Amino acid sequence: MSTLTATVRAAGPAPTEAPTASPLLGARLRRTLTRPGGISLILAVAVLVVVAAFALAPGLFSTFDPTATAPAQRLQPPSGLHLFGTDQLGRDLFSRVVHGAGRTMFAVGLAVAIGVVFGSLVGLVSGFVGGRLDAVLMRLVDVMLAIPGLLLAMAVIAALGFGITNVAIAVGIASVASFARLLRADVMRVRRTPYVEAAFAGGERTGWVILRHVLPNAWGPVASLITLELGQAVLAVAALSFLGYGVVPPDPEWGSLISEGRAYLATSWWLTMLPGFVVVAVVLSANRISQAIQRRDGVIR
Amino acid sequence: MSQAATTEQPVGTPEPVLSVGDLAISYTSRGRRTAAVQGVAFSVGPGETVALVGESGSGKTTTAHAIVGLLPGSAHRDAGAIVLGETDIAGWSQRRLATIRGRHVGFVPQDPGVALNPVQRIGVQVAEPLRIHGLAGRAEADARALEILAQAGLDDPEAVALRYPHELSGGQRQRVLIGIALACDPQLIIADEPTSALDVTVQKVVLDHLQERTREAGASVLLITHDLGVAADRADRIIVMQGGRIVEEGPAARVLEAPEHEYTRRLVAAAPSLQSRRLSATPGTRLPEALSDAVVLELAGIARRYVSRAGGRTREVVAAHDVNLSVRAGRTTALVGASGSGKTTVARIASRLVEPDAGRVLLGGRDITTATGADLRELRRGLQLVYQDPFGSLDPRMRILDTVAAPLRAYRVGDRASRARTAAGLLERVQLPADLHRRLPAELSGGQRQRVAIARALALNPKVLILDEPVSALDVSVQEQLLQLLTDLQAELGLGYLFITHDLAVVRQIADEVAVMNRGEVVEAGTVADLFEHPHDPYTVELLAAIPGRGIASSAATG
Repeated sequence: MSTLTATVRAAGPAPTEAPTASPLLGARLRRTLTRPGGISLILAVAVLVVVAAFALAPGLFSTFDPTATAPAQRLQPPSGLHLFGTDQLGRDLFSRVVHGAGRTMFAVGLAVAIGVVFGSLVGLVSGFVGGRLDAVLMRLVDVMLAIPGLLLAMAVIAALGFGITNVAIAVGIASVASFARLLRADVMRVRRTPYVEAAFAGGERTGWVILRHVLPNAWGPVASLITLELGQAVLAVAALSFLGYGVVPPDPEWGSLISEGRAYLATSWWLTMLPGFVVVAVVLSANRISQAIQRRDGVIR
Repeated sequence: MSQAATTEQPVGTPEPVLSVGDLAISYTSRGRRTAAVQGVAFSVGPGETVALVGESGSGKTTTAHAIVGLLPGSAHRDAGAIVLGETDIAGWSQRRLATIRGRHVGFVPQDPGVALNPVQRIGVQVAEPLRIHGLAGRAEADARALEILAQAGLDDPEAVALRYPHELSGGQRQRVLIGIALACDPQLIIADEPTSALDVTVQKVVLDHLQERTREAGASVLLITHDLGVAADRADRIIVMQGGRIVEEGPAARVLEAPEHEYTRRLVAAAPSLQSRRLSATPGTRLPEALSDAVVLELAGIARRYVSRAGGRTREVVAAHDVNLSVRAGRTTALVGASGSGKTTVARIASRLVEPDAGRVLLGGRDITTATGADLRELRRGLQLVYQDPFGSLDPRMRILDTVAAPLRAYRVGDRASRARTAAGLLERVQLPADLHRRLPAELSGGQRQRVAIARALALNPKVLILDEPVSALDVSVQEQLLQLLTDLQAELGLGYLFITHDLAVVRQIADEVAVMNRGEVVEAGTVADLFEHPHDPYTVELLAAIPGRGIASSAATG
């Protein structure tokens, strides 16, 4: 539907008309709310904001020490005191989830950063230079894309050793290929536009043209992939921690929380389900925001 | 219906084929409502050709689309009647409208490049309206399709029917579309800028064909066009629209020779096809003291071939063969030709964006053909380019002032503040107000963007500007203003222009010398006056004959 409005707008009779300046936040929020899917978008942003707050200042949200054991309180179901219940050692699960957010988010951030930086570099060079270099780089990317991401990440961990940072690096490397492929396509498109040629004809140097003209105009789809990959990375990091490649106990981390609770699934469902819901909520939120960015870019173009 | 009868058809006959009454249409975008058409009323008599003339945004296309019910979802008909024959179809549903589209009203769209289904054979698409309207069975429709293609003037209709749209040229596709529009013998044909995407010579052939076929069929034509010349040649009556309203209406000859409304007068004055004189600099333009007319750019024996590999076969295309051209300071050399004639290749070779196979490019007497790296960058300062498409040649994410300052930055001229001052001065020189400096290209009109592109090209004080169809994407009145600006700048700065265009009418307004290209070769070259008065090459003669509105131009000149 948004594509249709876009074409209509593009065909509209008044190209001279300037778009209105950014309205006040309140008005914008109201407009987002009334749009179809607007509530889910605001909810998605809220989830990520809360998780980011968990990661930055866990002390503000947790009511218990995440590592303090209390054998008398073991395996309590969720209650007003223990929001997510307690685990087999009587530790407050909610506090552990809050404190785990920092580790998970650090790993996710690092993973996505690695993917974006190296992927963009490969995509930019490949798309801009073209020719044989492009062919070679893209065949390598094909190889990477042919191997399932998680498997690739596990192979990398096997080489790097265990630990949360290595998990992040592994997940990051596994996502390089998709960033490279995506940016390459748009760089190739922008590379052929008249304004890039005009920049060269105006005597601008290659590096400057890439930085000022090509990258900003090719960047849009990457922005939406970043949010999408964010969700994927949460899942991948949690999965690798679940498999025991990540943090060392007793430090909390979402994947390992789910893994630890597995033994008690029959009797204490909250140990796996509630951290699992948090992961699902974050992944869905990231996907929803990614979708919104894609729509917006579709309208702009 | 004979020609005599059509021209004598008085305005507002008792039974017009189409009559539109008090039509009002508005667009809603981001909750805001903009009126596109207001109080438009006119009629088209049987066998009559009426031209709806106006610039982009005048509402002419919206009016045409409203008649066939093809308005986009954001448009709304606020008021008005659309009477076809004796039936008011204004309030009809799409389903009901579908029964008259093609059957009673034929529509010839603007761009033949996208109006045919690319994955369906031509024959099927021509037969489709006949079958949809139940006028023929499968076998009969196929047979009729071949007849229609033959009538459309396409050689070997059996072969054409089996082809796909991309295998036909633009002119052939437009003939097919005209054939489709006429397939069910409708009383009315609406042609929306049917030839603006085509070369002039093709344009003439297609319009001739449209005129001939509609006359044979006795159909009325509502011709939407921005080109007064086309309207002058083809229409019995002209309706001029501006800002969603009709400002003038009357017999074609009267409207063009004695326009009553101020806007029509301006349009007639601006129409390049009706002009016959070289523009001169606006009085008061500061002229340089010593005006030299030394050769600043010279092309000698330029040749370039392209090899294309399509469908396993290699085909060689000669884009340029032994092209010789020179541009003098303060003068304009025009390079004219149809699309595919190689004129753009020559422009790109001259600006060193494409390497020639043979020949030399001399800038200010220096051979720049083999310059590379730092030398080339330094040489580029003296030679700048303005592109055809003002929508594509500006970085959509860069603000106007930065775009104009970009070449200065590239050559490290001055510091940041002085560059911004220079850029502001350049924008003033191309008559753009200062409040546009912080805007993005998308917030500017086509004419304004092209001014920005010119300001950018002037930033480095070049000696030569290569202008690749700089005005062909613009409305006539904007076109004229821009040509005037270019003329003023030339007089003021002593610039040499290499002006690439397909439009001989524009050549008359801007150029001193002209070279005509056809299939990669310069077939004729000389001064503009010589070429227009004594053309030698048959291709030049053909090009000259294709300029629309020639009859009007001569009568306006004498009268």
